[in-house]
Amino acid sequence: MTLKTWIKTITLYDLLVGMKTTMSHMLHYKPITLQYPHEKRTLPDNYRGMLALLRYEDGTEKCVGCDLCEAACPSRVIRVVSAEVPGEPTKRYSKEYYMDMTRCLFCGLCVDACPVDALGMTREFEWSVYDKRQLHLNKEQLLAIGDRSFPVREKQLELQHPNVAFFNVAFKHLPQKPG
Amino acid sequence: MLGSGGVTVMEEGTDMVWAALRLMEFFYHESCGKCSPCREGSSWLVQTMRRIVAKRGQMEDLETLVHLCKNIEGRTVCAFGDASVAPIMSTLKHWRPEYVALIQAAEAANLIKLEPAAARH
Amino acid sequence: MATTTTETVRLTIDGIPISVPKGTLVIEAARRVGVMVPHFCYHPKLKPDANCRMCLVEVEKMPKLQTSCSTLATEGMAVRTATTVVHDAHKSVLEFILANHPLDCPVCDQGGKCDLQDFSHEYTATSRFIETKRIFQKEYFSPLIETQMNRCVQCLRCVRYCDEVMDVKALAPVGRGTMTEIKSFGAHPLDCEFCGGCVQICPVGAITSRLSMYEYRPWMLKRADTVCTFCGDGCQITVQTKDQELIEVNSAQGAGRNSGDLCARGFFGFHAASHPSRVTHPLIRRNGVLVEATWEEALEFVAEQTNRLKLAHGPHAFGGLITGRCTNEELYLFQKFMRLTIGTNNLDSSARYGHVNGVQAMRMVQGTHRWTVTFEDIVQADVLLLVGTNITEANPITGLKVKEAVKKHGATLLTIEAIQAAVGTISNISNLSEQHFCVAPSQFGAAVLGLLKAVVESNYVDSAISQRASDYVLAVSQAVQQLTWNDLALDTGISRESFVQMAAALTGGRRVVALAGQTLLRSQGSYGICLNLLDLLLLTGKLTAQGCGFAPLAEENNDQGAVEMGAVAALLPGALDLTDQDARTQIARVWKEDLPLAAGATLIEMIDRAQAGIIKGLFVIGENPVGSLPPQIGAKEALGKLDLLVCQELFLTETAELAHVVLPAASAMEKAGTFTNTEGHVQAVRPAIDPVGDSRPDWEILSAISVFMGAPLEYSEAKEILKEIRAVIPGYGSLGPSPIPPAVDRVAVDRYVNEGYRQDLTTRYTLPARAMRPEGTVQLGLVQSLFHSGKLSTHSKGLLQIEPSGFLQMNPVDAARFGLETGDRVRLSNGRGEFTTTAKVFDRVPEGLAWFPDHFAQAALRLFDCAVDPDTKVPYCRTASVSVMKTT
Repeated sequence: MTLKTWIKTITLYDLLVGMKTTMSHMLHYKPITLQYPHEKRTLPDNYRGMLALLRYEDGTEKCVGCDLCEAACPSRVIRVVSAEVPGEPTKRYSKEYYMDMTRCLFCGLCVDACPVDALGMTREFEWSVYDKRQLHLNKEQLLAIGDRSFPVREKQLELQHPNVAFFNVAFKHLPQKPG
Repeated sequence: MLGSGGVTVMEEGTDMVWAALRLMEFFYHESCGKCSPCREGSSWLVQTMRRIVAKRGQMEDLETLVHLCKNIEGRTVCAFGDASVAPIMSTLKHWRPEYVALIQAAEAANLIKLEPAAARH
Repeated sequence: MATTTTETVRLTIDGIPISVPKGTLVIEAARRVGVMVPHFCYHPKLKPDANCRMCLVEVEKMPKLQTSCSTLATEGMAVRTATTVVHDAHKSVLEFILANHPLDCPVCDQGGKCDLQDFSHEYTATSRFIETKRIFQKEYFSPLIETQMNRCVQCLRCVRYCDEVMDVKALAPVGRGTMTEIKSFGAHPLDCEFCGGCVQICPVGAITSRLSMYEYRPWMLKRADTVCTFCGDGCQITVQTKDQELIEVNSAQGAGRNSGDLCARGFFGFHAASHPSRVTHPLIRRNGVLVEATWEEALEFVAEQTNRLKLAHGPHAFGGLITGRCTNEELYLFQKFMRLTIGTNNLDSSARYGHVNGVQAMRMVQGTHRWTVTFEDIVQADVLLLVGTNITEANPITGLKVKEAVKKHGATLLTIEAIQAAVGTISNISNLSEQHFCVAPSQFGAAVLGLLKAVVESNYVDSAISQRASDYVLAVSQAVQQLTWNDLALDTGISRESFVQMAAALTGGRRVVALAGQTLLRSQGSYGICLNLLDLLLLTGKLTAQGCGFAPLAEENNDQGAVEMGAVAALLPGALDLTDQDARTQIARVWKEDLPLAAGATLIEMIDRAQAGIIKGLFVIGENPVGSLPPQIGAKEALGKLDLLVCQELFLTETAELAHVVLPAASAMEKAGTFTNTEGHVQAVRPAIDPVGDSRPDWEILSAISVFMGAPLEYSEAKEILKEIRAVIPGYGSLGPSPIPPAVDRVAVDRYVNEGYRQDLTTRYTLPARAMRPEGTVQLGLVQSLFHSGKLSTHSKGLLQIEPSGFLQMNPVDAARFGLETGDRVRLSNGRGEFTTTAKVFDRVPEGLAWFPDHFAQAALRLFDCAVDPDTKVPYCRTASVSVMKTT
């Protein structure tokens, strides 16, 4: 053992090297913990938060009840009951729409699957509840989330392309489906 | 060859793209609609041709036209499909510059260029 | 089935060698080696049309690509389906087909089971189409069928199916070129057979069911293969459910005896089971009203009362009625319950309304209780004789077999029907027939006698039978000599020449099948007419020959099963005579107890005995004598006198309203078991949904009653009953893909031609009374409608969309005579009562007749009289002479 190593050993030099970062923080104090309810982090742009159902500019629901989100969902969060819109023959919509958010992985596959961009991922994440049944959301709740998270709504694509005018529209001269 | 109507004599200086469109309109009107390539193809061809003649064409259209014609040819029930693509095939072969001129005019006029991805829902 | 050895050809498909029968299409050969060639317009049921051009393949030594759906496989052919050229061709054709497609898959009901979607995925078709898509005006098609012509690929499968298979011709391509769209030929909205064939056969979402519109995605559905509960054809249906909700019914191509074809009842009638008015809880009559009760209370009440009455009045104070819509297991258990637990033979089923006539005639002459032919024999037949079948309406799928025989195989069709050969919105079998005799139901007997006379007088009698049974032939000849052509012509309106011509056609056939339908089996004297028909086959040598036979058509889905399970008074399980000692011993061995010997009462006799106070207690399962028999019989009063009336029902029928206890029964959608169809094929019934409310399958209820009565008939599941049935009737219900028909019993035939014919030959060979038709009257007949079956289907919302109520249908000539037009109110009256309804001019109805659908006829029943067949005890109450008056 040389003198050099002997000095290093008795002065606990290796320990000091290891603690260098810690020590430096002791000197230059700058806290990185956020005081959560009072301070909030800036979320990344593509943050995937609470799901929501969206509306068009005129307030009509975008959802056509195609059930593709239900099919795409890996954890069976979504349940759609589709039907003909009352009073608008041959137009399809989701009569009921449920999301069991306790199971949601926030993978966003439903949003990708949606052919009419009716689903959106908001930046809401504060959804802790005392009763987990409150996380079983229905269509009205999901639409309400959409309303508050996406104040700027998309315009309906009417007449932009000739076929859009024929996509899921009501034909008033037809009778309603037999009940 | 200019289709199934035998020999067609045209004046020197006839707009051959226009002539091809005229012939195509005829075939489009006459297609019976039984088999898919002729039924859908003739309407597709005639719409593209109308666009080119109306100076709203684009360079990719020429390639599409050739492809469509080849896809109709030999795949229909009767010989009508084979005949119906002849005007475009032959005019494209012999008078391609006229097509190009029309499309260049369109591009020069900077008219609205249709988006290639058509069906957007 | 014809097992003829056919020539085979050898070819290779993608290098795989295969030999197929000559005449096979390349696409079919490819499927056999597991190569799926994409296609839209090809369908195994239809003739090749080759219009979609999707199935192009490369064939060696052929310069162009060939459509595999129209190219026949030939010797040494080398087909390639997996080359780049072929792939590019498929891709390009798909691009054309997709060019004008609206791509509205998200809202299309076909999404998930769409050929176009599947192929698009397979070929990852990206479209270069940037032009304006063609759009059709949306048209209202019908209340049950939805069309979206923008999605159509113009494969014309629907049009071809409608023509080739259904012979309806309701659909047609309209327009030319890219503007070709499918429209209904006739009325708008569509008015057709509503067989749903176009919905099933459409490869895309152009034609879909409006009944289940937007309710489901294919992947959400649970499927149960079961058997249709309407007519006796026994079609296999696949019931698709979503969370205990009935969503859709279809039938896979080639499945079951119907090979995937259905009629309106099968395709759109499934909602009967989920009707809101179903009885869901046991009901007990307390202080004169039916109130809800628990199962324990109800069963205890029934058991207690039954035991009390049995002790006081003996077992013969009981009777039992069951519907032919129950499963074999239930029918069997019912008769076991009646015979063993109660101890009486007083039991009957709805087979008594007519099917018994055909069965008894078969037992009498050929010694079988089933057809000796199958549906395949009908398809392969060269001559088909239809007598009073009304086949399109009563047995539509058997009708399709007849149509197939005529249209595809060129069979000669001879019809004796009460239908006029008019082209209408639904197919008319008489339009396909070579020779059609339009006679009133009351004169079917005369027409058959005319044929017999023609056979005898033209020496068409088979030489074998005249040698073997000269006495019989002589007796028949003498009997027909008594009839004069003049009388026959007066009765039927058919000349001697026509009879001789038909007799010649019948005799000339190699494979002859005679079908007798409900119109015949339920008209007066039909037992005798069935025997005469069998005589006709026997005399012409067509009874015992290969592929020949007599085929009475059942009306309810399990009428045949009811007879075979012994759920009729005079027959034991296996359709054996009650007095048959061997059968009694065999059954007693299985049941470990003896059977009652006293002859049982039939339907009408039971009502009479109830009226007389002899029968005190009645078990009614799904049967509705009050609603189906004319009030003259007094069913209502008789049932009102009973001390105990137990009904096991789906709905609160007229009979159930009189009951002391109503027990909720499960419908056929909710239980397991087997049904025996009209040709005697036993098929499995599987539950699609759980029983509605507290309802239970009928066998469970019967079993529970017996347990409460202290004489348990316990079974843990329906299969156990089937096991016991197989012990009683060895080999019952093979459940194979097709039935193995019994052969004609030679001993029975010998017995008949030596002895059996004597007892009633003279009565059978007399002409029926000529219908007196005073001025101002018509012969009103209760008929079967294509869109309903019994009263059950009147609970189906789909069928009610097509036919919501009954109309008096009348020939235009008669209508003009009474100054009636469609929609006019009309009052029908005779000595027995009157009835007001709406008239409809219908040119299928023969002159002098008027039709009213049986299914809505409760109020009309009072016009009818009831005659009971002396031999088979069948009540005949289908025709009445009524005077017609226009009212407002």
